[in-house]
Amino acid sequence: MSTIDRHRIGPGYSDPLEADLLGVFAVQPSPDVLERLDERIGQTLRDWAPPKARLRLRPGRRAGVISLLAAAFLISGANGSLKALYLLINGPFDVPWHRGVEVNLSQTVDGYTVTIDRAYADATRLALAISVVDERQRPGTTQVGAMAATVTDADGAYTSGSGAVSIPDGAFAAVNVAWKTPPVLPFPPGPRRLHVEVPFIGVRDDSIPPVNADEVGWNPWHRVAGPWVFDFELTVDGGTTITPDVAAEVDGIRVHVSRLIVAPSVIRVELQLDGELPAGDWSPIGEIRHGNRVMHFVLGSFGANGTVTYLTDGGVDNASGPWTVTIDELVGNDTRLVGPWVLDFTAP
Amino acid sequence: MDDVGALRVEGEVPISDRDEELALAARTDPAAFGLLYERHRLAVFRYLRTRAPSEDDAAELTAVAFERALAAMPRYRSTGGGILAWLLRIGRNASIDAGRRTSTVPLPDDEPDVRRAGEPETLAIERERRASLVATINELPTIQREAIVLRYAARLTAREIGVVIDRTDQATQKLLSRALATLRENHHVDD
Repeated sequence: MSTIDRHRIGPGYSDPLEADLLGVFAVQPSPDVLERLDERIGQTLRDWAPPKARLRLRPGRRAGVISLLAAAFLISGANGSLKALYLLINGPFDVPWHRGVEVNLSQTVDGYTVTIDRAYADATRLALAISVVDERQRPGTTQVGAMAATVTDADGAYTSGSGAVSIPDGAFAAVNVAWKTPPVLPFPPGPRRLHVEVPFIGVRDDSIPPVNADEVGWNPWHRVAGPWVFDFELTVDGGTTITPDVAAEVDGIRVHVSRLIVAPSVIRVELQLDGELPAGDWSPIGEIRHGNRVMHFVLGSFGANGTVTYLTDGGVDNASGPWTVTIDELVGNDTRLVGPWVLDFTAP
Repeated sequence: MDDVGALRVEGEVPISDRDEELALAARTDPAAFGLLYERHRLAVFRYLRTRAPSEDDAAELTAVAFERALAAMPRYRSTGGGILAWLLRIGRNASIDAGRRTSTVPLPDDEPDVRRAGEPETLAIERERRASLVATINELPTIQREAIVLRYAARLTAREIGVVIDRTDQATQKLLSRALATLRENHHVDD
């Protein structure tokens, strides 16, 4: 094996035997075989009737997404339209792209270009659509991501309760969506002057896990420091706060819904758990129904005295009408408590 | 308050964790499942290629694995080795159902090495080396061969391999160490 071949394997595999093993298994399906496979899975997905699919995609979007998915399979690599990948991000993450306003601010540091493509904010969330491109296409890079961002305005930093998702487009580009919890809830509507900093980006090398990867904490991701800095104005969408003050009790355990902040991106549900509940943190598994929309709890946080705040995998524009919060079970560290706790109320 | 649940807090997120987010969405969202497919199809194919007599058979098994995974997505839990290990386990079961109970590494004549390039003499030497290594791999005990395949074809960690083959982390690590020692003893590499 040539020196070049070994270097391609990555820093973890200078061992000739392991390099040879990688070579033996580096089989690549023929293009026609891969194309047939992609078409078959694409068709399977188009035919698939997921049990709760209606909850995820707004009407008319599903066909577009699946078509785009099929196209993405064929494009695969850095030649495709980078921003088209935002359309593959669904559920709670699609808001910055589909509802967000164009920002289109770019900055390049050390050959890495970071762009704030769009931004969105409402009563519960602030979200940024961020793309990153390694303009130099550095050898040994297998993936890049730009998911860390701090957002500040006159009211403070939006760093609490943040998260992100990234979709790579080949080795040297990716689209990312980062979202933040506003400094006050509900976040009041109106224009805001935002200062966004992406302090670092993530770059993944081409190493593969060593045998004892878990013991040594192997991590192929490395940070490349910026910062990439952006200033722009964003108008915050609205939202509705509901205080239903309803409760349900099952086997001596009481669930009380104290407040919902309903917004187009995410619904924030504040629960109070009490009664004969063992000590510890309890995560509710459940859903919220409003009209024909059903949303699930996907992200939660625990407060003092049995307070649990959960966010849903989608939001609604208009909060008026009947609501049902159903908690199927409460999950603790080692125990599951089966309900359901069903709470009905109506918003004006 | 700290965020809990399926989504991670600030920072770059390892691949496996983003997989968990996608897996959650893929219960009801075909586009999310499509991303999981796109991300892992090659690893699943490479693993199943070692359990199938031809490229077409491997592609068929790969398709079956992802179709079964789609149907089973609501039952997926993030405990264990992550989504790739789960997919490979489904693929392994699919290949067992298809009657291919043990893995056999494809011979070099059958498969191109994507890294291979150079003069004919160099390629001939390379081919011999690969044939020798393949023969040595195929002489390993089945479970050791399986662990080697999962590690170098699908690039799994010991923990993830253990999930696929039903072994503890430590047992898997021992399997890999023994297999590598055997290969090192019997496959001589010219430096």
